Amino acid sequence: MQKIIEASNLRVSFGKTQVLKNVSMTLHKDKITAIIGPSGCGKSTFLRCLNRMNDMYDNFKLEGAISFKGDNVYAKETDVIEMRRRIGMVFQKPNPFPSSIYENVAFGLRIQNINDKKILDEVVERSLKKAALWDEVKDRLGNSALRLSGGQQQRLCIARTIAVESEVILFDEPCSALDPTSTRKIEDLILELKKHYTIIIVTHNMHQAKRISDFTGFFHLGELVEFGETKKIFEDAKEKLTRDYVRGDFG
Amino acid sequence: MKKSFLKKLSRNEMNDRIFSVVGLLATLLGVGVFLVLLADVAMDGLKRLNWSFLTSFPSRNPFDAGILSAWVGTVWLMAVTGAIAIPLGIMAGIYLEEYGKRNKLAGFIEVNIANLAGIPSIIYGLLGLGLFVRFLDLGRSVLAGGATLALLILPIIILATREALRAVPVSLREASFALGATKWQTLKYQILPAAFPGILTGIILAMSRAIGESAPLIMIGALAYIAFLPQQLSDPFTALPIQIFNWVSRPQHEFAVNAAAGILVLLFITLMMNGLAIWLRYRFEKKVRW
Ligand SMILES: Nc1ncnc2c1ncn2[C@@H]1O[C@H](COP(=O)(O)OP(=O)(O)O)[C@@H](O)[C@H]1O
Ligand SMILES: [Mg+2]
Repeated sequence: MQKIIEASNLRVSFGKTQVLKNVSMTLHKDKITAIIGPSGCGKSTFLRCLNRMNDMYDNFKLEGAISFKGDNVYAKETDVIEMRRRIGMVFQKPNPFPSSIYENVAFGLRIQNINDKKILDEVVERSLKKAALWDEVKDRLGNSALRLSGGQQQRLCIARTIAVESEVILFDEPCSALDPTSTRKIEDLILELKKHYTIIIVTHNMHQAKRISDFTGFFHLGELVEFGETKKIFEDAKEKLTRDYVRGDFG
Repeated sequence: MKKSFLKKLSRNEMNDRIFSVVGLLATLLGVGVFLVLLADVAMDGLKRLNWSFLTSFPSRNPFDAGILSAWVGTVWLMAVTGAIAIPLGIMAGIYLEEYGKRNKLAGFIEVNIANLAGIPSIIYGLLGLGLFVRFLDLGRSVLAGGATLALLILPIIILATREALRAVPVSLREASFALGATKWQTLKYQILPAAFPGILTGIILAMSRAIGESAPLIMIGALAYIAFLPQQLSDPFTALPIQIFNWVSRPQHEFAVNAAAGILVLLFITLMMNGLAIWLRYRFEKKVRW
């Protein structure tokens, strides 16, 4: 097992509020890591630290370190743009661009000045296939992405990330706005993607975490209470807090 | 217990009803006054509204007088005003919203721009007179007039731009950043296109404000009697509101009729611009939904 991302002693605050307290976690290549915990415990914040999405906020402050394949993510000389391309992200609410299905997938390439139609066609098709969306949209690539269903939109967002050849995909509760059928499809897709991508998924759904993840981290009040193999966390956790949470006693 | 609950509900309902009646009356009053005014002006002015009215220069004889130099002057003014205020306003709006640091200075600028939008237009006329006509020695030219009106509507465009940018959902920004887009790429390809209808609406409303302004133009000394058309930016000019103002202040009734006809033309242009703004907003709102 190869480690790909390593967070050590992360302390994160927004203005005066401290959100993460001394979090350390090692993420393994081509595995699925689930992050669980009650609302507001810092799951999204942790996830967004990994590809520096929190940089958007003026009052964001981080101490500690995150390394991606041995490089310090928060070093001054880090190319944030390149790093975000390699660590993609899929959000809670599907957020396709208000353009065509085709352009949604092509956007990540266009901003790298790749505009050759042949290359774009190829990448769009390959990415949509990998995201299990191709058959549903291949006849209407020019249609607005906003007209797709929620589940399709979410798979489009996954395709968009795959198109720029990310190595890691961060999922922040990707199914919380979807119906059970669409949820199942996304879960199957994530399991399939695991072959080539490292996946970190924040989820509220215990069954989902149990079903698809290899590792699970349990957050509570900004601390990583416990981290380990999913089976262990769900069946034989060391901490009482973890046992209570996965049993559904609170949260 | 149950009884008092019911009582309270019906009281709220009562308030609801009273409010909706008062609101309706207020609306009707506003619309009604406007319609009466419009009818009054139309009754006077419609009969004077013909081709030669639009293509004649002003004259001492009210039946020969037309608004050619006035509407051409207004077109010139709007072109100059737009050319200055639109790019400056949009750029300032983008800077303040997207790049400006959130600090005390930014807060100070923000409050001031909001205040500037509320300053009486005659003050801008004074500023234009001092700054453009005298200090920069532009004279009573189209350029001075356009620049003065540009100052007047600059805060409106800045505010509209910022509001339109702010209305773009954060999720769109995040989507773009997460794919490795730079801030500028995100702005250019996603945020600005999404904000465009809002910005455009703001621009049109600002321009339709500028087109009806007379006080600042009178202040900088725009002439009413111009028997030629401006050929360049340094030429003197007149404009529709100035011409109307001039005719209204003449004693002869025939000039009042001319003024009414001029008002109809100005109203028509303003309503068309507002209509365009509403149509654009409606169209884009339908097209883009998040
Ligand atoms: N940009 C921000 N500014 C201020 N506080 C924030 C910001 N983002 C998150 N927080 C706070 O950090 C805490 C953790 O939020 P989050 O990571 O979104 O929790 P979770 O995803 O586990 O529900 C919350 O209390 C939230 O209010
Ligand atoms: Mg969250």
